[in-house]
Amino acid sequence: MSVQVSAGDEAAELVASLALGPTAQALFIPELLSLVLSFSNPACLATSARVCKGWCDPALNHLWRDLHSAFPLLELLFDINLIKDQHDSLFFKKLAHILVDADWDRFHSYGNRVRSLEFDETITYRGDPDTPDLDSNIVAVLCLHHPFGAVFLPYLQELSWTTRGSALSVLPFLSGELRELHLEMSTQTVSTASDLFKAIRHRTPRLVNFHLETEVQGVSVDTPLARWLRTTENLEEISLPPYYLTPALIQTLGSLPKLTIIRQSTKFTHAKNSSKAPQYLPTGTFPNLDSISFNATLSEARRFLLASQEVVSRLSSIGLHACGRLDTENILNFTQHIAQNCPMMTEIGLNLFTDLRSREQSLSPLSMALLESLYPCAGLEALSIGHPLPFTFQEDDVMQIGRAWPQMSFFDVGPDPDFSLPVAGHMGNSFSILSVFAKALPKLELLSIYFNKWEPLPFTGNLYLQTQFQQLTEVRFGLSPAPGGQSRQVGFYIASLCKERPAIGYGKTGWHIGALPNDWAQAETAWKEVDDAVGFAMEVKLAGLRSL
Amino acid sequence: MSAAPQVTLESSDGEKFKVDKEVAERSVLIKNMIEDVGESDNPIPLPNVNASVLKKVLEYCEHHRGDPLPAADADPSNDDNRKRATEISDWDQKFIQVDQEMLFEIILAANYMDIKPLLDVGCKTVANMIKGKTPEEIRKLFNIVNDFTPEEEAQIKKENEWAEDR
Repeated sequence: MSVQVSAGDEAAELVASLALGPTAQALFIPELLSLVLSFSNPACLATSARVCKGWCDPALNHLWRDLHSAFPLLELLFDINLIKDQHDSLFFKKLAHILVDADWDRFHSYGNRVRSLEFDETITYRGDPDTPDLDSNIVAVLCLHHPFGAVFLPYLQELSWTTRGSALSVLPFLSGELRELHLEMSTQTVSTASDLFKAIRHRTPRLVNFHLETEVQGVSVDTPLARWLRTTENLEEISLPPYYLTPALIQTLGSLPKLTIIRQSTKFTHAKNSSKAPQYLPTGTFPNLDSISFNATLSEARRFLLASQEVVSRLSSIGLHACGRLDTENILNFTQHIAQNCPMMTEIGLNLFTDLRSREQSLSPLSMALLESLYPCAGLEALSIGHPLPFTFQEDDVMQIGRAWPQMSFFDVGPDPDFSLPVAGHMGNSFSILSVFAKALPKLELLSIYFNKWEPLPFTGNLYLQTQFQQLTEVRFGLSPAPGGQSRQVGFYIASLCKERPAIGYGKTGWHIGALPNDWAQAETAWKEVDDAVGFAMEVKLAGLRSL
Repeated sequence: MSAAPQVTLESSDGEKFKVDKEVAERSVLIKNMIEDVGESDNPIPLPNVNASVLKKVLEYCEHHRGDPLPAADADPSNDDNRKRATEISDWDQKFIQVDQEMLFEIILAANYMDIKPLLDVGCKTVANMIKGKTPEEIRKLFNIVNDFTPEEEAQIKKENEWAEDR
């Protein structure tokens, strides 16, 4: 493949003959020039391409490698302003006559450099609200007149495609080199989705990662989808919408030799339909599966695990998006089942946000009994629990958790309650419990819980506390009320417990269904202040350590 | 406690530098040489690096002696390495405030001695020098001859105009 044009041999001769100084020498070595350019922004790359012929190709290779819009490519063919008036159907006919071979040559000289492309028609191009969608008409015309077959970008490896129009417009962008495909298609008909899956059979043999977001129901398209996926033998990760693990898809996915992760995509909510919960994973299938997430009621999930015992016993990660009745007994039955049958689990996710309609009136907050039921999974490293009410930890609870799960690094339990429910003041956590977490779970990398009691503020002015988190990189506060007026003390206290500056996260998670607190916009500002305070305090702290 | 093991490096102009082995081994070239040859009292020759540059490079290695080593298989075309951080730490920034001649000498030495983090610091600095300049200013800065016709240059400008406000 001769796309990466290098100035190698000629340049070497030039250097030798002229005995150039170190400046020119360094910038004539293609690897060094390419390294310099790899640190440059797009505007700078566009300028660098015009410096001299030796710089042109390396700069353009970097500039066009990752495109965040398809329009730079289309602009090579015609003036985008021409298609603003979409009523002009004649334009598409005219287009065929406008385009000449030289246009396509230009298109390919750039298109061959593209390795990743993001197309999102919900975002306007260069801030112009009149910029048209790349609708299927345009693509159809381009395909029709494209002189070298149907693939526009032959070396494309990553494609993210978000469309409200016909998803078929993605077709000419699917190269045989594709490794990652993120496909988000809303307002699709079943027949368009089926046609797409039929059309891409055998066309993506190297695909490693596929992410699908759509509101089309799994049962309506599972046959063509399964047939296509049978031709993607290298697939390692797949994200599917809720209720897509139908028998047809399980059969296909179970035969893929490299598949390790089945995730669940979350963009579109699908009607809860327990009859579409996955049935079971047959013994001996899914040879490399490590992680699975799915939707079901708690009792169905238990039956699923029981019937899939051989495959499930090999997993290290499981995620359940539960629906139906979520009373305490039901939840405990499920977690006890995991603890007894899957003691090797390192990662457990439990989404207990039921949709608002089916949520029971007498919802009770989770208790330590839930966590205790999972203690037999002694190697647990990551625990995520989403619930409409916050979880409250006492000091003893945290110490107990530390003893049960010494490897815990990702602890995310109920940081974002639903504020349409009465979140009583006694629920939630005191900020001072942070130091207990540092003592009990020193290996934490992420801590995400709900805080609502800031007094008494634990910061005493000492940034160098004896007990600190060893590798904390993020504290997520979810929908915790902001510490109004005390952002600095809160930020300083966080810094006093950390070795490196942790990120401060806030806001709802992808699982959250419900209402935000009334004053959330103000809270966001206050959280930014906390983040700034952490940054400032960490700088002071690290500077102090260096000067020792 | 016994003294840390040391090695001697010899610059192109014959000057010898005795440094801790740990410091010298920030250079993958030297690390491999020591592994191949084994411990020896003979100085390790670095025929492409003169004394003033070597002194500067060793100052960098000394400051960063405890840093974790970058992954050996860091392939520049690899996805993980593609989205690059362009920040330079305070100490490195001060360290690399040298004249242009020395900057490129350091880059060439880091490339030859295979010291990836130093090479990155040098190349980031050059990238920062280019930032915001016109093609003509860049040519002037580095003594580069323009071999484009005005038409060619205009054509490239037009096809890449979309990137200019990025």
